[in-house]
Amino acid sequence: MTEHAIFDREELLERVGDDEELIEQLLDLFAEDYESRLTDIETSIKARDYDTVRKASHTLKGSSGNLSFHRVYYTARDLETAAAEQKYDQMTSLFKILHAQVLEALQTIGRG
Amino acid sequence: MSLNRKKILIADDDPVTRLYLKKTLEKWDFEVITAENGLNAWAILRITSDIKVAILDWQMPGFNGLELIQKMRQERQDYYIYSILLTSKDSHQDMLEGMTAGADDHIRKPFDPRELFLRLRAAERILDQQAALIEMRNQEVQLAARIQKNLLFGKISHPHEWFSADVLIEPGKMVSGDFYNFYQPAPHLLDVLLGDVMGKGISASIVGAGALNAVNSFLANNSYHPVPSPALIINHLNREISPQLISFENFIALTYARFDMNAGAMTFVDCGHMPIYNFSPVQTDIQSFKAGTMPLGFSIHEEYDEHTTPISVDDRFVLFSDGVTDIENRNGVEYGVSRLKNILEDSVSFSTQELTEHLKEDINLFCQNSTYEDDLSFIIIRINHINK
Repeated sequence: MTEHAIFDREELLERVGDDEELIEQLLDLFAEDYESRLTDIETSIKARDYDTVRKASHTLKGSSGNLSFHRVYYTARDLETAAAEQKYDQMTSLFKILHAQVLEALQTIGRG
Repeated sequence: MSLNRKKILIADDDPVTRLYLKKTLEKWDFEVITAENGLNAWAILRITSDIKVAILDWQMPGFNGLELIQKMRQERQDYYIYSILLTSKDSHQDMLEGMTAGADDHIRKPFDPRELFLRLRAAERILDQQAALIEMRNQEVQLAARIQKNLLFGKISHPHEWFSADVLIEPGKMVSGDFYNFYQPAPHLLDVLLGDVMGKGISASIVGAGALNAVNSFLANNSYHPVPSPALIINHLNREISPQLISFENFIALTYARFDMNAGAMTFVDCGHMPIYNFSPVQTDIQSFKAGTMPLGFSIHEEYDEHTTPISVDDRFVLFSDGVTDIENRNGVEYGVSRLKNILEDSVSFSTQELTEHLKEDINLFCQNSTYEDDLSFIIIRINHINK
């Protein structure tokens, strides 16, 4: 398995057309939002609410993909799939990884 | 790059995606509004009149992107929005399903800005071409309406003192299916023809022109002595044009009325048209003349009869299309026969011109100057003198 970057700044710069200001705004938005999103996912996993886990992981996949948080993106994608397939044990272990990766991503962008 | 500042709706529940798209599209000169879920997006889409493109996330609370597209197609058939679904780059299935459900295009997340830009350019090409086609069509319809009004509609070329006449023609939103003409086959006769082709638009106006032409050439043929009766004229017209009308699945409601100063009589043929109204200062109760027969275009074998009634000096006769009585105001209320009759009864002392002016003002008052769907045709004849 290839090791994905936690944060690919070059790719994000290209996506925003070198707009540093926009990058800061987008990262701020993510930083403001991440805690409630992770909490949503965690409580839904505990409640075995597979549909909410799937939807919340999907949304997190969307924002992390667009911010070039590659590792978070792929883990969120796997969690979305696990929720769709109702694999509880996989969900709990993937969530732990996801949680750690989100924190790591936030540190990388200086918002840890 | 010229992007005409088209207005785009972005609906996505992820704030990062919303902000990214908004800022990026604004840099490309689009005007952007955003919605954070499907319900808000629908609140905007169901009343919008200026959004050209909707970029809709596949998965949102409220309505998802797919449901929004289906609701748009069902409930806003008056309005086309180019819809682009946001799908995950790893879900080929979502893309197939979305395009099947009626999305015009899709964009994959995470975004590749070049792809985003090119897909919006493709949307613009289609929207611009569609707008150009609509504009071309509108110009053609307007031109057709002007041609019809100036070249096809009748004029009273030699007014005689024994009658006065006036016409109120107001075209509807589209070119008219109404047509009329005046004929004077002899100095003591005045013939009035008023027809209404089913449907609207350029094709209806051409059908009307064809019917008018058939009557014109029949009457222009000098070999008829004496002057052909209204029933003869209409039965000839029916035999001539009904086969075509039947093949176009079209029909024409029509009234042909002849006023005879020497005989002191009005003779009419009714082909499923609105009644002829008659009123006068001495008899304000409106009399209504109608035969209850089929419109032209139902059967070649239909035989139309004529009916004759005596006329007196100061009699007013009114011919009108159902466009007059069917006008709806903004509250969906119809103008109706009784309001028209009230106007006529109030106008017994008016000249023909004053009456049409009065009617026009009342119709404008009724519909608060909004445009009407159908054409309005209204003809009034006043008898000034008879020889009997």
